[in-house]
Amino acid sequence: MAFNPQQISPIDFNPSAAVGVDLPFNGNAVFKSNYQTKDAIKNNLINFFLTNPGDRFLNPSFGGGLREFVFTQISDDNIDFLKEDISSKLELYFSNIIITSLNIFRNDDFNSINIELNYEVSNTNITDTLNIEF
Amino acid sequence: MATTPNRDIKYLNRDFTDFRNRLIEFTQTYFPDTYNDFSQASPGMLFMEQSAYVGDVLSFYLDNQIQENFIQYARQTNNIFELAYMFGYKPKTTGVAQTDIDFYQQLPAKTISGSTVPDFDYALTINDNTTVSPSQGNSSFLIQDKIDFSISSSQDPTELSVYQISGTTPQYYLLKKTRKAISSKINTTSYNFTTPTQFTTINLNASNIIKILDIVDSEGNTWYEVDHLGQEMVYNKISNTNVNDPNNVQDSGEVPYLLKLNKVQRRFSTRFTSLSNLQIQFGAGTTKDSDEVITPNPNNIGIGLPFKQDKLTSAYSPTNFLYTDTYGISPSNTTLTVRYLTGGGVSSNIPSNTLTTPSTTDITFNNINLNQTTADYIFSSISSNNPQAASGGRGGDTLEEIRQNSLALIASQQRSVTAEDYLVRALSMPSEYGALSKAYIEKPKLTDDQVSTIETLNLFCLGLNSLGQYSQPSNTLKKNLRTYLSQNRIIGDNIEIRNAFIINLAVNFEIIVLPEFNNNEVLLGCIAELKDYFTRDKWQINQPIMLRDIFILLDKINGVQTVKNIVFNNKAGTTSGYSQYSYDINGATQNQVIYPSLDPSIFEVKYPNQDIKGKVVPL
Repeated sequence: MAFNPQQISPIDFNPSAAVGVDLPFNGNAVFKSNYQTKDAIKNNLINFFLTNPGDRFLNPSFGGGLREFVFTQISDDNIDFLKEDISSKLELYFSNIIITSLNIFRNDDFNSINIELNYEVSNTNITDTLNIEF
Repeated sequence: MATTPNRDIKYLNRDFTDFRNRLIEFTQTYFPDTYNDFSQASPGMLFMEQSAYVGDVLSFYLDNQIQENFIQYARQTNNIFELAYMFGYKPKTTGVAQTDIDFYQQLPAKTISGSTVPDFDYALTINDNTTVSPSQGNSSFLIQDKIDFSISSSQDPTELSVYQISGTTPQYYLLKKTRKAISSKINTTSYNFTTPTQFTTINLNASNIIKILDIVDSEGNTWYEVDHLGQEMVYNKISNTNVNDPNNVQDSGEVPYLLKLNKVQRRFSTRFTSLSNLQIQFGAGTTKDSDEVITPNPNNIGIGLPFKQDKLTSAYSPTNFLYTDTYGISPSNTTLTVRYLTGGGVSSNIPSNTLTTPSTTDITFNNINLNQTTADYIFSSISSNNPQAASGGRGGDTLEEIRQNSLALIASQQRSVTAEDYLVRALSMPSEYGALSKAYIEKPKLTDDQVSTIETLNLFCLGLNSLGQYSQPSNTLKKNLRTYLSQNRIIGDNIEIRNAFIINLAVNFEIIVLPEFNNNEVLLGCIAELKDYFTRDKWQINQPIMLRDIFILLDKINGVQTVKNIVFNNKAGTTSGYSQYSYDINGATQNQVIYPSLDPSIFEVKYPNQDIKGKVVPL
């Protein structure tokens, strides 16, 4: 019988040990800690997509760079390009994340799009969905 | 009460990566429950990397500040300028070209007792800072020393020749004098001052500033440039005339100026803040302080020190021994007229025979009541020329040159410490105060019954007479030299300025000439070579004569087969024009070397045309 072990981060077993910090920074002391790896990864993804390449010192290519697309025409070609761009960047910077589905929904009436990213973290039982609208 | 736990803080981090890794390590060690996500996408890492960034920037500026504190490593122009001034080096923003300019004037002839002589009543004086314009280009030149055609001396000879004859009688003579000139132009600007301000500064904006020529206020007072405002004493030169000093006027030909040490209140210091801005700073005192000639004495040295006890432990400089706290006068309710020199640069290296137009503004006759027609003709006869091309013009100091020159200056601080310092200092005295031809310094020799001497150093010196031969320096020259050396003399040094002894020689030699050569030609070649060998510029006090060198010298001359004999004879006796001191040449000759006397002396072939004789002898 095939055996597929699932790893769980030890921090997740320690309820008092914080993993990272949540976005946005609106906690009582600015920072609001998160205590589960799943939350930390989601925040990391949000942080990644909100960072523009060139923002990080000595790490110029880091960042999803979604702001670059804000004023781009909503067209099928551009949406395909965006999908491809997100996939390749996630593969580069989040090698442990497996994209289960990446959907981009057009809302032409409001000049916005909605990115729905379903993913799982390899070798863990973590699955999650990230929605970004802009 | 909460106490701050001890943290292991490492201070060796220098760059971003070091700081970042150390912050991660620090967080893992001391905050294991607060933060654990150290991946690059984590929002927390954003802040850690920002902190590392700040650390990196601070490290850079720390390194940069340290670097800019050392002249060896400083890179910013203004810092290198400041550091250079700290070392006492004044950066040059331009390099001036120099050349010799010949000045000519005609003189009418006059008859005295049946013989025709030049009429020196029509001699002209060309003042210092007279401009000479070139026939091509824009670089005008400036002479720094006055020309008086009526005076001729060894330091400032006048060439006299017949310019025009009428029949067989000279009608006009031509006088020629030579002066060094620098490529520069005098500029004038003025500044108004109302209420006095302590340490007020003015800025002179111009390119290629060479130096401040002078500053004069509305009342006609001269302001003196000093190295720093704490310097109260400056050298001042006054003409060696009967009015100024009747005791030394007899030496005015050899020593045209007397050197005096003056205490000046009207003073300023300058510094370049950039290549095109010269900042001039004045002191903080009031006009009640006056300029005067100060002779240091126990009552005025340290007069500005509040407590007598301080005199015991204070360090004194000969340029600031009064310790007044005004640092000179701050100008007020006056207008300062600043004359400054600009020029230099590569374009100022002008070719020869181009400096032909002297400015006649500063040329005057020495006498009045002259025949107007003749005077007009003579005045229009003034001309000039530069037989050699000007050279030395260049841009200002590069940053690397400022750096190297400043470091070199450390070794030559303005103090005479060693005997060689005194020697070089003595030889560097400007010739207008009487030029030394030769100088030699040594510690005094003790006699058998002596354990010490009053003087710590003996400076032996020689001047030149009007024929360019060695002579004993005049007392006026020695007085000037004493004043000149006093500025840099160590307080414990007692220098005795003495005359060196002159030993006059005659040379007789015998040579054998190769068969195919003309005897006279070879002989003349040998004499010319010996004349060159005994040129005064090549000899020093206490320099021995190496006979072997002279044999080799003559042997090398084309046509000489063998140098058979060289004999040196002493020539002495003032009646025949030689030194009063006779010398036993044979006794002083050992192993083919003629040694000078124990008391410092110099060998001189005084009349080479008659004292160097040669003979061709058969094989």
